[in-house]
Amino acid sequence: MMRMNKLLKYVVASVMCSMALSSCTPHFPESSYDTQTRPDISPDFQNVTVPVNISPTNFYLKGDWEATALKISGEKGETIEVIGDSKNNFVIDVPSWKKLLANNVGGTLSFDVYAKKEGRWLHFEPFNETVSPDSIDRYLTYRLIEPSYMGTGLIGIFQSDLETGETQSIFENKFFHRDPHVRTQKCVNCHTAQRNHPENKMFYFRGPNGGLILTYNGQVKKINTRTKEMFAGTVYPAWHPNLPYIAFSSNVIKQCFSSNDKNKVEPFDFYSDLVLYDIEKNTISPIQNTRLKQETNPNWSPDGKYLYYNVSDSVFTVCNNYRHLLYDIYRIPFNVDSLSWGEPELVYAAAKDKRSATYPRVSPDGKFLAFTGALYGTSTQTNRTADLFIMNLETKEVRNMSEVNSPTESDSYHDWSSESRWLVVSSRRGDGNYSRPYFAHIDEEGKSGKPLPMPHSYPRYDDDLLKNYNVVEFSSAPVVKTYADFLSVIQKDEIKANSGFPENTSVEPDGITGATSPRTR
Amino acid sequence: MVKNETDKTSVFAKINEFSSIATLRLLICMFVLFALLFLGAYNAEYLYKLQNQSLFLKNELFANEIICQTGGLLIYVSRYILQYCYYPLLGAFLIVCGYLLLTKMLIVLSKATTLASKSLCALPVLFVMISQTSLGYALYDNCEISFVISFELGLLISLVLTWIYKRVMRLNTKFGLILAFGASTLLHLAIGVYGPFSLLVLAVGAVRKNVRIAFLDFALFVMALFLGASLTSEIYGDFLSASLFAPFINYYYLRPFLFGLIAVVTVLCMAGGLLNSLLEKKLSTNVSLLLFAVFSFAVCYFASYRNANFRTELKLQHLTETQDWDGVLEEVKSVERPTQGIAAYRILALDHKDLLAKELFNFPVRFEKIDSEYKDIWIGTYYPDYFFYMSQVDLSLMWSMELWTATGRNFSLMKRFLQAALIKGETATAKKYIDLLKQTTFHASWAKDHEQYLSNPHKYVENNKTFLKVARCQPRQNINVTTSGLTEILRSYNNLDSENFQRRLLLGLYENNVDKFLEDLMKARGLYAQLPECMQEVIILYAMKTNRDLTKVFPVSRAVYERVVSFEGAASNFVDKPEEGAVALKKYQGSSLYHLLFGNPTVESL
Repeated sequence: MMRMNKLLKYVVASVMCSMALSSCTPHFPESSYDTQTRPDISPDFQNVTVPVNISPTNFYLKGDWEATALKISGEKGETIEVIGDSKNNFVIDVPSWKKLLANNVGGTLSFDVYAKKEGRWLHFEPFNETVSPDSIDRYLTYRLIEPSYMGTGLIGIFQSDLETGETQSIFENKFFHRDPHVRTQKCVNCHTAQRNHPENKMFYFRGPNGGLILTYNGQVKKINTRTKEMFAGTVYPAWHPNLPYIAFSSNVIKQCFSSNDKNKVEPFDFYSDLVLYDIEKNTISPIQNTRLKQETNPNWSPDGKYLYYNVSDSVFTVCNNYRHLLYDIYRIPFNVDSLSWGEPELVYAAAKDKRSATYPRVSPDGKFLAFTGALYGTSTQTNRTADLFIMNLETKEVRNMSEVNSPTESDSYHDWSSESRWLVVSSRRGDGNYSRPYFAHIDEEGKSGKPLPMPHSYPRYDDDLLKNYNVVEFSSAPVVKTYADFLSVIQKDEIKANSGFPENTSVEPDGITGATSPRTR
Repeated sequence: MVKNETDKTSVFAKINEFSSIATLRLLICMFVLFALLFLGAYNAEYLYKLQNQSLFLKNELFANEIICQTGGLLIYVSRYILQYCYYPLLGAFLIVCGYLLLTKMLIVLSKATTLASKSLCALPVLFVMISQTSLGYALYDNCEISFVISFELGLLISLVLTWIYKRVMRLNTKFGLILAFGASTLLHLAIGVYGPFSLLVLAVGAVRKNVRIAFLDFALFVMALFLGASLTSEIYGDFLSASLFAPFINYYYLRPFLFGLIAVVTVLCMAGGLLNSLLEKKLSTNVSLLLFAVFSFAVCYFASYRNANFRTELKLQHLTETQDWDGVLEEVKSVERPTQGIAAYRILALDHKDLLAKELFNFPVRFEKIDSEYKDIWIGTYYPDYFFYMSQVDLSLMWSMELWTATGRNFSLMKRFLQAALIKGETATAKKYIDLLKQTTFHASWAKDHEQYLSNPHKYVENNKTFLKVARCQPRQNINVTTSGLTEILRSYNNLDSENFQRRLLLGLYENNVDKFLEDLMKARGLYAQLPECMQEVIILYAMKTNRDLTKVFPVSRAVYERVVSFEGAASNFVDKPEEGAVALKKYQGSSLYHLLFGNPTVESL
């Protein structure tokens, strides 16, 4: 009997507790007043197109509210209800979201946002997201770095899983940055993967003890890709889509700071050439080794038969002239059998119109060429005149992708997804200072719409992040090597690349640019 | 009779005990008062700077960034506590509370019973206090500033853990040992080395009782340390060597001192029992009290960092933050051998009080180099402020971002980013920083005050006399620079307004670059009806020394001419004896001639 009483007390207490708890839990509003206004949300997912495999587009409602709620209704069925947390964040349940997307492919999702003020629920004008059947590559790799500086800060390369919204670090220089004895240039940059063998990847670890950290066929190596004929190390990489080759530009990079300008910093090259690294033979050979031209930003055509790149005739010796540095887009045929190069062809002439075209990227289906157009320069991430352009490779028609670009801020550095249906572009449209990735859906005609900001499981991630996304690139396979794998390779001696330069090549001082450059006699 | 004697003894014992408790309380009060004064008053600017040099944001991303490292939770909590040093007395109070708890734990663990041995338990705390206040110029370096709190908190947690282990072990030694080992190893993740350190304290405490157990505890300490560090280095992707002693800063100034401190704590824990019996017999209460007071004072005096220029710079930075230019000029009055940073802050104050031409040279001419292993420290102390208040807002941003990345994110620089964005009218950028600063504990109201200017950034400038000058004097021409000093940058402009041109002339002269000054002066013919006296002095001297007489272009006053002639005559006696000359011709101090002749050539790239 005593036991029964105790048990009864337990049950009553439990019921009362759960009732008390449930009375504290916010409920979805049963009635509300229409505000006839759009909700002020961040990130701005209103009326964007989302890929069918994207993670939940979590967002928060700006302003002070007593409570918030969200109802997502699929055009073809399924509904999700989300109660906002104390900071008005809407974090959508991943399985429910996946189900919703799967059931509404090709349709739209309607988002009804509710907010409670002074005891009254308000209902904002609904907005839509269109679910595209075109899936996006699962992974996005990028570097997180502060906007502008000279020394080496805390830099890391990260990988985001676009299907789950999770982010993981690939490699960071945190240890080297922390230790005052080794706080020299310890940059980490240029992470990229081979298009058709995405398990092969590379990045640089710069500075003393640094090198190209190459993951190839499951092995990690540290390579010194600079041979005695080169005036600088290798910089911007481009993996051949199938073969064991990486084309690099070799650049003497400078940067200047403005004393009173909207563009705070201007990175530019004093000199640049192109080289090819044969991974299996561990050999570096020249591609373009010219005296009065600068070649940079290589990128392969999807079939690997052409290498696209930038060329500038501009030559200058002092910082102040960087605005005269204008680039055209060229391509050069590559003969896989003989490993030989053909004659360069002009693809897009920008300099004659006093403009600069950089970062040529051909879509994997070979139909379009996306590039950055700006008033000047090569590294246009900090250049507010930079916009994304697209060329139809069949008609050669070029147009500014105004539907994707921001009106006043830099839209630069982009990459195509494997299926050619999505473009990622880094843009500083949010606050003018910190670039963020945006995904633009590209249709058969090469047209797009309002781009989708990168979703995160924590909706305020990009608002709170004090770093830039840099060198954003898609990958269909994750990085499997660990931080420890990379660290152990960094601590080992480098493997020196062999020279594939002709014997008569030597390093000579360049009387025009002031740089030391290789010249073929 | 026997009964009476027993009563008497008991009464004396009670009196002794009462006296002992009273003395202990007095001792505690004295210690608290001393520590509060030392931290909250003497080191007030230092504490304020520590919090300003740190960053704590109430958001998930920041919490993840900080916590996901070895000892991350301890660092996170320490950073939170460090914010309270915004009000130095409040910060000092919290720190002193920690001292009391630390002392209490040391007394408990060392089983100190006599007043003498109890007071000795406060000695390690004294060392903690000294190490906390002795960062010096290292605080501008890339060190985790919250170390000053995590050091104290970590030790406290360590000692509490040791106490808990001892309690558990009373019940079951084997179980207790396994529990202690497991907990210490896992805690390495959250509190770093302080987790395993509790096992070391346990080991040294056992030495006198049972050497075998002490060895066992020590072995467990070593194992927990390496196992914990391996675990954390694997999880957080760090070198094992970095994880081992985290969150100890890997810093060249303090390392020996801190390890010495740990040794003191360890010895005390081990020798508590011994101390009781030794000190009880040898020292009376009053003597021990006196000894403690003398020793405390001596330790604080000799071991603390007392660089006067360092302290002055901290004060000047604070005064500049509040734009109290009179305060800056008052503060530098007593400086005898200024650093370049002190000179820079004085220049800012003179410039904003429109006294630059009149008073620039009225300052000691012998400068002192900062004694620091950190070679770029001179930049860290004043460049962001100097460029900002001299209207080079973009270049201030450049230096601020440079320090932000190289030496650590902090409130001070984030506020500078916001100010610069508002002055430049870049409201989207300003909003980002306002939203972030609103997540802070003590800078949130400052950020909210700035929110009103987002819709009208012009008001921000109009409402503040200093900002008005900063905005007005921003150069209209854009030039490209890298790391030049301000004077060189001012020389790079083709067109400068009169205020900036005067800065260029005077700063050139201050850097003893007479040739450049004269070259610039020829471009400034319409700038002055009559040149400032400091410039007149130079052209008179130039006319006397060379064939070129600029006094025909720039009229000079009779009084200045006579002063220069008099100085020239007197100075000719000290051609090869600048040290003697500087003393003998002290009455000319304040003139540009005295500065040119006896000034320290290390003034460069201001």
